[in-house]
Amino acid sequence: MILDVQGVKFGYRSANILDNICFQVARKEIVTILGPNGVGKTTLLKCINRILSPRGGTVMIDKEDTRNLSRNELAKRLGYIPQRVEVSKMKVYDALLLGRKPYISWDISKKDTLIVDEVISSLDLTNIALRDLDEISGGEMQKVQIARALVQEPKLLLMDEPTSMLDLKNQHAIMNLVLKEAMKRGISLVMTLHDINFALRYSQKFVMMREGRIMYAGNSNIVNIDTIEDIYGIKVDIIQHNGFKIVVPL
Amino acid sequence: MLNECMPQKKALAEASALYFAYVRKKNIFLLASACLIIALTFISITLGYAQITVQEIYNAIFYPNPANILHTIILNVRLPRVLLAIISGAVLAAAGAVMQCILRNPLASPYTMGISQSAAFGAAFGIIVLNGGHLQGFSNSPIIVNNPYIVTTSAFLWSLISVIAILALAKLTRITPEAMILAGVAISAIFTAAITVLQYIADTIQLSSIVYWTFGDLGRANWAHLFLLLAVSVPVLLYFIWNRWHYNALDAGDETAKALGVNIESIRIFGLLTSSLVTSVVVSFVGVIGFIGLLGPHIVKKFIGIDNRHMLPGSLLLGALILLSSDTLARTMFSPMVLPVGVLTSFMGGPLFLYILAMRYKKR
Repeated sequence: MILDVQGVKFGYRSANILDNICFQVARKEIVTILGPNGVGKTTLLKCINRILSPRGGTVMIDKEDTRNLSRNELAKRLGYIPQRVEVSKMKVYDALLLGRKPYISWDISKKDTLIVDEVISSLDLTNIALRDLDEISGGEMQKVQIARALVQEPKLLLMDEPTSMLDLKNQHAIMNLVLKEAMKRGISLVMTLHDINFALRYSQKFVMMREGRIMYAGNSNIVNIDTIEDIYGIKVDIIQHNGFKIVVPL
Repeated sequence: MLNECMPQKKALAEASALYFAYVRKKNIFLLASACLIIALTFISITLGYAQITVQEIYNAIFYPNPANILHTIILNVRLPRVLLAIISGAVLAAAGAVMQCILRNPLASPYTMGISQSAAFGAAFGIIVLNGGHLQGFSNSPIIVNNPYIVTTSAFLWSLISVIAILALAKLTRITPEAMILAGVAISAIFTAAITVLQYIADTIQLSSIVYWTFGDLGRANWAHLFLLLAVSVPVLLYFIWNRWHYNALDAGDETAKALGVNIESIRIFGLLTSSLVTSVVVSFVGVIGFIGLLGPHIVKKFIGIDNRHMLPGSLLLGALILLSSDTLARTMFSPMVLPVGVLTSFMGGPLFLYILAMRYKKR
């Protein structure tokens, strides 16, 4: 198991935002966390990479308890792409070098630039490498975020709504790119998505949350008319089209 | 086969080749700034009421003759003053660059956040209330701080009040960068008022020195102060440069920085504490010199971008260059009259401040 979450709890003051969260992710597995707004999906991702500290439970990354890892060591194992990113006058190449931050002691090495170069050519970013982050498009920005996470050479990549800011074409382009690169590099993927159809198309495993708890978890069979009504409170129909399972609200 | 492989390999190397060509330009900028500082050092020493040649400077440094009045002027007046300008400028600009980065606020600097003013009050408090000052009867330098330890310590402790206020506002409220500067205005108003109160307690000589001080004065430079200033600022500047990758990560946003392994809280707190420590030491020796912390970093960012690996050393050099040239001008423009150097830096920095504001609120 690359990720093993056991009994994670989180809350501010008395309110419990996450309660007894348990799930596992194997190597190269793609897991989507589904659930309505405010159910604690983002909080769960932040608890996994210790941007927030859970109140209880354990998070194991590749058999190591994250509590025993320094922030730097954690960053070598875990990439994180937040939903909202800050843009600045930083160059794309500098932004990617930053992905080597956990490995840098005094300054970048030859190895660091080789890795950045490899990712840049894989993701076809050469022509924007010297542009400022605030000059590039939303799709390019998301590619840069993914590239930075790949440069980090993580075992697991967490993505919070990776497609929410993108148009239809870019949503699919970005997701295909992430899956291809993740499989090539042996990285597991955990993401949150609002679009169930999108999740059904690209994901293998699903975790469905309601009010800070995991209600259902498993393969695409668990995403059905009953569970969707239970989680989202909306009646839907499920049809098959070109081999894809499609959820249509009634 | 070879021909098929070549383009592939070239494409791979291309991005870093482009990048290193770009980095080379930044290094040239840094080198040019350093050369300018060295040239200006010599020019500045030659300028003044007593005419001095470059040859004389060389003689004074390598074959000092205590009987030669020119050598005394070079070694005990002009050289310390030039070095004080270089170090103070470098420190104030570096502190400004670091504060802008850790507070994610382009208007932040020791001066605009009220740290300089609170340190100035602390220094005045150290001299007048704690008796840290000893008077000597030179008409052009009426006060000589003979216990720099009391004065700088007092300056640092009082400056912490500003730091705590900034940290509390940043931590407890959703304060915007501009509102943070308003808080800085309030803090400096309070401490400027407090300095005025001290002026009522002070005697005439103390009074004249405090008034002169509020606009910055490099005329009291001496070797003992320089060594103390170096002893504090060199470790702090190294600490800033050591943390340049952390500061770069902060620029990508708090969450990304944390995900990259940065302990953002301690970087913020230590960054502010060390910035205010060096600011306090500078202020205790030269008074409040405004806007260097804005001018240095912003000029550098315009030329070589925001990557702290180059921006921090660049700010240091530009800060030194700005304060050294301002002081040389202030000293020689209306010679033998000497303007307080802070007047010049404010004339340059004030418009820059307005320009940054205008750019941020530009109608799209």
